[in-house]
Amino acid sequence: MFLGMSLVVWLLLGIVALIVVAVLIAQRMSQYGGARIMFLAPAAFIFSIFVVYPIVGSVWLSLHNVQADRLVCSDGRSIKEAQGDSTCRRVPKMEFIGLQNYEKFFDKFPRDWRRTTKEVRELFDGDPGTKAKMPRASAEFKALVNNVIWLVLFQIAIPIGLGLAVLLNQNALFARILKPMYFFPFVISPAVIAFLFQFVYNPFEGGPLVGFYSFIGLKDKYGILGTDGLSTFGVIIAAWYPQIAYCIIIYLAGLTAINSELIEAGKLDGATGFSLFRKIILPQLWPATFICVVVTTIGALRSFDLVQVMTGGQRWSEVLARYMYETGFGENGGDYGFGATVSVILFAIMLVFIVFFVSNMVRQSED
Amino acid sequence: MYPSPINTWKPLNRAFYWSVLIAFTLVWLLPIALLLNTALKGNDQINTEAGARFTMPAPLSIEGFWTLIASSAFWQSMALSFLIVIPVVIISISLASLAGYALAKHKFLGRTWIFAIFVAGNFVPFQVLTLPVMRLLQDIIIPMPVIDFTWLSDFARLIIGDFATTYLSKLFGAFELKGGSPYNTAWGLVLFHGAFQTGFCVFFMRNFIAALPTELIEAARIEGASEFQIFRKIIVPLIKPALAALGLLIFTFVWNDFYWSLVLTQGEFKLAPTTLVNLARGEWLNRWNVMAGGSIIVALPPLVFFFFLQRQFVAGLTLGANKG
Repeated sequence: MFLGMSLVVWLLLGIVALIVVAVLIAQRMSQYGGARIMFLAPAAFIFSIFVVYPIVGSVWLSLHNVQADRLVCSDGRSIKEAQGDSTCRRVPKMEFIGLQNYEKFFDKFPRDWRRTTKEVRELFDGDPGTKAKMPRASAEFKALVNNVIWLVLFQIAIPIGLGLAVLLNQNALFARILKPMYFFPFVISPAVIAFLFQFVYNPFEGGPLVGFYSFIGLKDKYGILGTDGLSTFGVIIAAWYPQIAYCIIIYLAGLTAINSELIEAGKLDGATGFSLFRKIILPQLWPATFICVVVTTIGALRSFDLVQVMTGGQRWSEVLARYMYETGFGENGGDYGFGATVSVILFAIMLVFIVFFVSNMVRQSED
Repeated sequence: MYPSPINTWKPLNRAFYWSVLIAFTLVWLLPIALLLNTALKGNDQINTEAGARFTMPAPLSIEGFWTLIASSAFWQSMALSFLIVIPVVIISISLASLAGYALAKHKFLGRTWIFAIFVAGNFVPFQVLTLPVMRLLQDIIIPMPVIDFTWLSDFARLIIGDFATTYLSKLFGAFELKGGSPYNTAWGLVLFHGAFQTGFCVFFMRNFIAALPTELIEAARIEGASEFQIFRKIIVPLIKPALAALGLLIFTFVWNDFYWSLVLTQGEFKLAPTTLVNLARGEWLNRWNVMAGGSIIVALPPLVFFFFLQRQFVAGLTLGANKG
């Protein structure tokens, strides 16, 4: 039984050995020549194996038909051939099918703009009369639309965070007590945040929002998470909670670095109130804003935990990240090839943002 | 300072400020208040009330917490989370300080590109990594060292008794390589998280080390110090405070992870947040006070770190602020 524990030691020893070997080689090599490569090697090695290679692997996988229940031996023999052979390690069979997975993904997408707007409108139709009908949009299209909604609405966390940071940027005792109260949601697990808001959205009698539900005319006891077309908004609002906390932290740090001479100069020029904020303060907060936009955008597209726990993708709240999980690991899942396709499409969308953000960040840290 | 201190404001503005601040704070703390409120209700009250409500807990009860304390699956996942997070923090921080030093203080071809890849790696969606990482962990076959540890377990049984030994063996069983591959063991999670968090750590350490004075390093070089001596004698002492801040961040990120223990492990061996969700959907269904209590306990370790080491935390976040 303690074999397990001994293995903890084994791995740590292995990592230490890796570092020691790298350093030893570095010392042997000429002083500035090889050293830097050896310092870099362990991190680059482990990172390229577990992060860089899998991206390529997913693209490759998405060109194949791979099913969790269609197995072959890892050495290429079929299961029948290797019957009773213990050296046969069972792995899913890879069958090259080109771009068919991508065709499947975009198959039921609306083909023209009129149709697109119509299907999107159907998804968020507030009229109870037409609401009962199933919208025509395919699961993939719904997930994509929801991702766009996330991308747009999640950004509202930034101005809210900025406003609260300005409110809290005081040195008095009350502010010092309140700040941690505003920061802490950031360190809480998304799974816990999801529970927290399930309590808040509780649609049963006595729940904090029940009055609001009847005010906006929600029928039955479904609440915001149980209503088609509304559940996405419920999940996004829950996701704001830690995101606003993050933005407050970043903006408060930005506010302490504000140049007070510029404020004085602005006041002399007659800037007061909002114009002072817009013309003098906001430009100085640009680095903080950039970081908030980066993290919020990436977070919006990566959203998985909250959707999974709060709605499980039901009630039209599916997003691409969760849809990949559904096709790969869900109840009717096991289609690894298609799962990889969904994830590659999500990655392609994010790549646009990633390239823009990273080139900016690297340029910033270069000078 | 912006805005100017509140006691220099006009009384009317000050009153407005206070009302806005109090209103926001009440709304902000509402979910947490509801959570605490629900956790302190008794089972009877929960059963009659269908769901979390803003009724006062009457009588004040910790019945929910008793159910939690009795749940060995829950505590096992908490202990396992700690066992996994600690090696991840050690791995990613040590690898990243070495790499950060190379990227910050040495000039070589492709330096910017390598750095950019480390930064960009942070932003990829987990889903695009999932299937290949899963396959990779299944494909790595580590020949197991055959060492007889029965004497050790007999010895342990003598000292800590049968109950604790079974508990420990279950816990450490998660580290046993099944069929020689790290898939579905704690190793898979350690390896993957260690590798993934290295990306963020490299970004953080590179920027921190780049801000250190280069003259120190050059002086040491002239003295004839080797690169490793420079790293150990000059860089490491200077980056110690950053390491603490970074370690806290990585602890929080990995502790809070929900996705990877969902896909890289099967069966009952899951980390704390994932176990919480599973239990809430199974054993604890509709037992809102138990769910609330469990949520509080899962959130507690990062919260404790956060409240005691708030300054390091915020410093870490604002220096390497690229993570959500």
